[in-house]
Amino acid sequence: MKSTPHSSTPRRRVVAAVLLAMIAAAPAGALAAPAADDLVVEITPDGGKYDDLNPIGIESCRADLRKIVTLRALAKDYTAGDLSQKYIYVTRDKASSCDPDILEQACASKGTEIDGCTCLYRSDIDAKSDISLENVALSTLLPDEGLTACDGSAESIYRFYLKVVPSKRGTPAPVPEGSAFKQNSGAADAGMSDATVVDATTGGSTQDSATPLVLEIDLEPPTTPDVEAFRLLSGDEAIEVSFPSTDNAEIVKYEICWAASGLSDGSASDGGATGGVGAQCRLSAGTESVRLTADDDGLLLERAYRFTTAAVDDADNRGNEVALGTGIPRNFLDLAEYYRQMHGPETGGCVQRPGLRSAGFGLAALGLAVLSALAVGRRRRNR
Amino acid sequence: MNQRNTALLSATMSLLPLSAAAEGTLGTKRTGNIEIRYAPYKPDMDSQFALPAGCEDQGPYARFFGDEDDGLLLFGFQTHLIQKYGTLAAGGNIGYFNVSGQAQAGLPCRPVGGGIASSADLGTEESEVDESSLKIVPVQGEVSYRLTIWEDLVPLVPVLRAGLDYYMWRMGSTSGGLAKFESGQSASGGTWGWHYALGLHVLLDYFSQSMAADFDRDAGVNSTYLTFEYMHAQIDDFGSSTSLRLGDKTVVFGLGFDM
Repeated sequence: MKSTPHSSTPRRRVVAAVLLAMIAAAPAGALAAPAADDLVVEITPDGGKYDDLNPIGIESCRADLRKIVTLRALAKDYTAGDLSQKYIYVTRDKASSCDPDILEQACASKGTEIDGCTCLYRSDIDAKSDISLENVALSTLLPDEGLTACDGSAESIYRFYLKVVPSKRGTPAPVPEGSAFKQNSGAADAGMSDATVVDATTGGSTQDSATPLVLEIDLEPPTTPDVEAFRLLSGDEAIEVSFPSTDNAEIVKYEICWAASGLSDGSASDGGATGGVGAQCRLSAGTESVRLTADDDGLLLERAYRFTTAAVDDADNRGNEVALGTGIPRNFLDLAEYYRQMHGPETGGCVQRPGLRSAGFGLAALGLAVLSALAVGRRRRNR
Repeated sequence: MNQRNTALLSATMSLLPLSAAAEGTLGTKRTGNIEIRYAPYKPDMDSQFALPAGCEDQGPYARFFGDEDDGLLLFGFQTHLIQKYGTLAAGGNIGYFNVSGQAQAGLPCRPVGGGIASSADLGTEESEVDESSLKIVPVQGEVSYRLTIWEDLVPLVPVLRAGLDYYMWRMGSTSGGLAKFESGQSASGGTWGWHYALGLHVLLDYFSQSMAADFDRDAGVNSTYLTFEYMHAQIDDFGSSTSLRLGDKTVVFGLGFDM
């Protein structure tokens, strides 16, 4: 189980939602239009769009990873006519992009994962042209066979990169390997030795996509919360479920479920609430407490409910359900309601004890106030 | 609480160095004074309910907020009218009081007929999360007399106050808004009343005349007093049987500045 650092930007629960949103951003005419059901993923050198983690949980794993996608890499800001080598590759559980030598080995071995790097596509193409890996299942791009069935219990983070290695400006075309080559071209061409070209396509500056598309595939449910730290608190026509403060970054919210216990004293608690007839559930907003009310959640007053909870992680994986106990929503009185029910006279009820007849004191005080006002007025007139 | 404050007042008085030499009143001509005062306060709301034995602590205020006093803060300003035989002044005070307590499940002592009967089968449970509140803003107009003619010799100034009061009140619901007695009848309003107070003010200038002179020169404060008073406030619309009662008998203490 891994704790994932959380960014402040909103996370997408399902990668499909993210990918669909990208379709509209595809440049018109850059590629042949994909099939209607395809998803298009763009990886751009300057990144920016894919700086969020896109978590895929247990439930969405099968559906999302079987989606047919078109992986489109856009190479921008290169001079037309320049040639380049372009790569699309994926890393597993690596914080950074692949070393060029490792990537070359991975591409040469046709999809084999080497040191966490798997080459998906390589092409020599004009620097301004896009490349695409069309109509493939997302799961086939991931170097983890266990993912096909989504039955693993591990958690991995995959990062999809575009790498562009442009040719030296002005070089008309890659020189075939083994061709005779006159050294002293004036450029810092890499990989040349003596008069034999080992790799003539290098030149200029290499650019990896600054920010990769990141898929976090989390097939491990969160740990079971400590039920002792939860509390069912009685509110006015409501039950409030308070949560423990946790430093477990994996748990992002809790699912609270409730069902009528069947007995007025709430003693029947066989099994979880979600297994009961008519059970309802609600997700917390973050790890703030959840307030379930008669108005919003349909709780009936003076009726016992069994409550259960389960932790939910950022991939929407749901942990084991634990029972929280029984709560009974009640009508609590505020001060005004209590006062009215006591027949307080301010509400028109009958007075219970007469007040002190103090009109004399009041009039005396009023007289003092009037005299004071007169004195002030006289003082001002004398000035 | 009142007994405790009275004891505190007595103890403080006994510590004053009454034998110290007085050198006369400092500063410039006085025209008025301002005061900041604090009083332990518990509105007399429950006094209008004739609670039977076993239900004495089940009046609305006691049930929600307990039997202890809470704090009332008062800010006052007065203008001096006559200073020939002591100081006669007129002015006003405005205060603030706020108390909150847990919402209650029911009436342990239910009104029956014209009275209240104890009923053990009704709930005594209180909410664990929802509260109700009572806010009071007292406004007082008053005249006061301070016997200041001997304060140069003995830094103790007897004080008498009396005035008219209007206490604005507001009950808060469990949701934090304004509560209602019934549908459409907001639980807010005001209650008239009166008050008087007796007390002693301790002239602090007496203990550090140079500091008092600096305070006068720099801030225009002629004299500074430590104030102790007993106040009786009768806030019931002058004996009305249909008004919320908010009076109390308490000790008020604070600081006063003659300007």
